[in-house]
Amino acid sequence: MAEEKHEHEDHEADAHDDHGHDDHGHDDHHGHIQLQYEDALPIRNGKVCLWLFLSTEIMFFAGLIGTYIVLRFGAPVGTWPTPHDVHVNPNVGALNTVILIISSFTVVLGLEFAKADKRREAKLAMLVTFIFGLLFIGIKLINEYPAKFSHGIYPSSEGLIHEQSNVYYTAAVRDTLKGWGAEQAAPVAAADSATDEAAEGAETAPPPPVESDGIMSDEARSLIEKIYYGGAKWTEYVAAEKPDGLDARDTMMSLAQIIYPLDRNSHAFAHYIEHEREVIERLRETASESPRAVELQQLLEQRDALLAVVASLPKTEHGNKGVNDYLHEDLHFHHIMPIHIPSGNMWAGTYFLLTGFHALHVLVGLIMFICILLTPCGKKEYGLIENCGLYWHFVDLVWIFLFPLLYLF
Amino acid sequence: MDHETHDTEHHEEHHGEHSHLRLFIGVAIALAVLTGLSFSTEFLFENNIISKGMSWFLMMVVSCAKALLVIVYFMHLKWETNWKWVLTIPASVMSLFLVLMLIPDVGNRTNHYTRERLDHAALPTKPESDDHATTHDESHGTESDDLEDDANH
Repeated sequence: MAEEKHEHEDHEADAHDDHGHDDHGHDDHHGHIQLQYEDALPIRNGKVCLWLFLSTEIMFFAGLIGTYIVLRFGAPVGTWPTPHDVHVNPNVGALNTVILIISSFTVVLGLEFAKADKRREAKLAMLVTFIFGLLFIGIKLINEYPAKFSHGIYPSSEGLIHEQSNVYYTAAVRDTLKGWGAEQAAPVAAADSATDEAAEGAETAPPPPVESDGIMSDEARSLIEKIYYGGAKWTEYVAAEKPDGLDARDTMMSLAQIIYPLDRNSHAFAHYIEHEREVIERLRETASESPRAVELQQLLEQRDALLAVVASLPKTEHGNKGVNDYLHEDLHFHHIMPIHIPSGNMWAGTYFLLTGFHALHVLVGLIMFICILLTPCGKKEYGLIENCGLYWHFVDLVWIFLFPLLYLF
Repeated sequence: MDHETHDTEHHEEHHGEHSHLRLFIGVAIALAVLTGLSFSTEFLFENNIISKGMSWFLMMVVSCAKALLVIVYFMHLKWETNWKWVLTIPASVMSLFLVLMLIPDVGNRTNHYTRERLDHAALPTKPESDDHATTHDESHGTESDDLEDDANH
């Protein structure tokens, strides 16, 4: 503004000069020679470029966030996973938010110091910023992402997450357990009834070699057998007999709930387990004359054993621990069974895309801070620090929206 | 070029005086407090004081406030000349427009499910609004009964 005014005065002086002394037109201290030419924008070229870049970045993240909003709120009502369902810890998200805020503040501090040419202080401020950025990435890589990966939650078209706890899910669990050799030392496989022998033999053939044999403890092996017969096989039996459509559905839900408990299903699960005896009685009636009665009896024994184990599993704040967690964390078994999370695949896709792109931006920021730390961080580097700072604030800005959308919604 | 850079630096220096330190500390504290606020809306919802939609709305308001604080003070836009509008307004309008253009899709996704998509969609276990209500007999409820057959074969 000040410059414009100055220019205006120059013009006036010009006009005055033209009237009065024509020969003064070429004087260095007056006239049009003194006209100041301004840049297109009154800022450094680097800063213009950075702001242009940032405006494209705004649209980039707006696209990503907009897509997330469509997918999240367009998902069938009541299916989007709660933070607890997918091991999202809002406290960790809030911690990361505070870390980014502090780092944004230290960048501003560094810039102020650089402006005053206080090199040591500026360098220290940039170092603190770098460390906080590192902390953010560290929390992501050490705590946040592994918490999801270890439970089988990652974006994949052939991952472990099933949208519905239906017969496909049950079959996936059965196949997985079979792959671990759950059928090998099968107590049920023994052919008690002569009529069943041929069919049973054809179905199960020789058990596949088990790679995980070496690392499976006896406890894990016995639990895997229980869930194979008392969980997957039992569920398939109920689904095949179809005593009642709802029973079949609820049994499949109970299998998913035993393996990977969801908060929203805990009531329904407890209710179902209470009433499972009624289902069993009905099945007994229909099976009493057929050869399947023996199979049913054996499955029921395993079912009781499984439910006893599930009831004795360590308690968490949301009920009993899932068998997957118990196998993985307590029995140190290296594999996990397929899990049922409604809209879980979409959740994983959007969560990892959004946080992944943000984390990439943080990484680039860290590289920039290393470059800054290699300079003297004096007044000469003011422009560099300012540009990097602007970028870093933008990264902070994106996180400000990602935190509530991904951790609290 | 060097000369020009020097000039603009002087120009900026003139505007951003040394006394901003206190202001920046205040902004940082405000940002931390606002983060706590968006957290607390979650607790308000948990305790049934406000609805889920209301807590989402409040969180977004808080986020916008935080974003403004960062843009205006940390990114120095408060002290920039009019060029700032040239870059920020088109970008904001376009990004806002993009999000708004996507909104109808939210409605269309749930209103026009094809049979095939429905078969592979996640089964609603119970409506979201029931999350905190004490309902009985969920397991034999009537919701999603027409999806029942899909789940069973």
